[in-house]
Amino acid sequence: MARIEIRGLSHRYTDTKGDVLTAVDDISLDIEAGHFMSVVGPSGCGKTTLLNIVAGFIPASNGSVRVGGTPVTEPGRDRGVVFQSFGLFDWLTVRQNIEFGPRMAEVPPRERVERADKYLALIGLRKFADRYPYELSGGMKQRVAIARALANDPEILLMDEPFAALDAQTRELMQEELLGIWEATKKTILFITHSIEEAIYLSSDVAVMTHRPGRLKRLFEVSLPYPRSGYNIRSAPEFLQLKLAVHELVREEIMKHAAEES
Amino acid sequence: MWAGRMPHAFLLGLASVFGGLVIWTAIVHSGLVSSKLVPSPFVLLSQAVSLLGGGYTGTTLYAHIAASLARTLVGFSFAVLLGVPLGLLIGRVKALEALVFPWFAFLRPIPAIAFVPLVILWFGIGEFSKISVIFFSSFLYILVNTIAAVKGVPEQLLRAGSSLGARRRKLFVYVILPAALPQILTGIRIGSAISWTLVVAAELVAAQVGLGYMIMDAATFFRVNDVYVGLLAIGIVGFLLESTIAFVEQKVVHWHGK
Repeated sequence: MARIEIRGLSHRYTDTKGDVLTAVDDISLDIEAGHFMSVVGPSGCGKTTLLNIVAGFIPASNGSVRVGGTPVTEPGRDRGVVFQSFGLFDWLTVRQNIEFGPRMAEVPPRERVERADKYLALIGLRKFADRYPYELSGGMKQRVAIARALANDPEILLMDEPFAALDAQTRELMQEELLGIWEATKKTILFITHSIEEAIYLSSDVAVMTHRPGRLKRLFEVSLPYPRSGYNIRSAPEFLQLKLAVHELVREEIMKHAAEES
Repeated sequence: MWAGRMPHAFLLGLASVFGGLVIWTAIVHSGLVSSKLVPSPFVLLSQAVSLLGGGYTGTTLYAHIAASLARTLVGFSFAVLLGVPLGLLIGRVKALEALVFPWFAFLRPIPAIAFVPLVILWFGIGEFSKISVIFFSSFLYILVNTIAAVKGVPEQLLRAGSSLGARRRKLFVYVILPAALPQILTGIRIGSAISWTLVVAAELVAAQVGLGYMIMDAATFFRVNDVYVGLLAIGIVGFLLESTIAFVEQKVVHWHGK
């Protein structure tokens, strides 16, 4: 089990006009092993940049990220990533997509098949094992992407607005399924979303970011008990209170930004 | 709203060809144009049959087609064998791309046919000259398309691959190559069409056999019907060549465009 330690993390970049912009500014954040941390904030606040640095896709300008004590310098098998637009390999079947990580790690074929079977069962797509991604619906594609990340048995799951491209019904279903998977696997999850309700429903911790440059505004602990599926937690008083509090903070940031613009 | 009532595209195409032939025949028979310059389709059909059997200047039509096709396939194959690997390399190495870019920018607008006189000066009028012109024409196209294909692989797929443990060579073989394959194959298909049009142009200059030679020679001796048959043969073979590659393309990159 690995925790994520983010220390004084900043990311600056030069835009097309040559101006230096700060996307993420001095963020320090710990995500305890086995916790489910969501990051919310107004769009353009650098949430995705934060995830991309933790994933090792882009370098930090300042500060550091450690996963299980090891500094992050590049992408790695210890951090599985799930993207908003799936990022599946269209030329591979569902099964081959899920087997991709183990295949890269040169896991023996027999064990690979067993692992793929396990995750196909977990996401309920055994019947679709030999289909190609273009034959699947959006929700099914994202299930495959989650299974593909899990089949590598990473310590950490990084999810970048994974359900944003799905319709409302599919989205709720996927949230329940993800909680089930998280409870079964106890992965450490960093989850980026712009949906406050989604963040509270899923997470043990919620981080709210400020508008550009993205700083950490406040950290909430969600004390609602797990498992959360099965009863109507979304209308529980504690849930609604928290939602209102987070909503106020995000709204404050949006208003502040609007004032700067005018 | 018309889509539902629209007849099958293939039937429409067939009707269009048939209609065109009818109009063509009607114009020739009306006497509006000289049948010496524009023969009727029936005359051309019988002429084609006679060329297939008896041949043009002692060489059957098959042999002319085979000669042109052989030159195309040799030149085109070398273009694929060199263009694709080189394109893969250049597409991955930014410095290499910067080095070759000005050359491409300069060479690409020059039609390959313009090199024919120079190539003849260099290598004479033998097969090597013709094949090198064909090679050059499709090589540049295939190369440029392969470079674009490699560079166009979505960043997200590279990220997905690398976070799943595919690094360097593995990332290239298992992610970049398959992701770039559709566009590489499109380049190869269009390259084949370019090669085929170039073989005929190359043969117009210096050849004793081949469709380009046949057309040029027939025009010189005012054998108009033979010119037409040569043109038809070029059209049909070119169509078959591209269709074959398009068929293979659909089978290999079945996911493309879905």
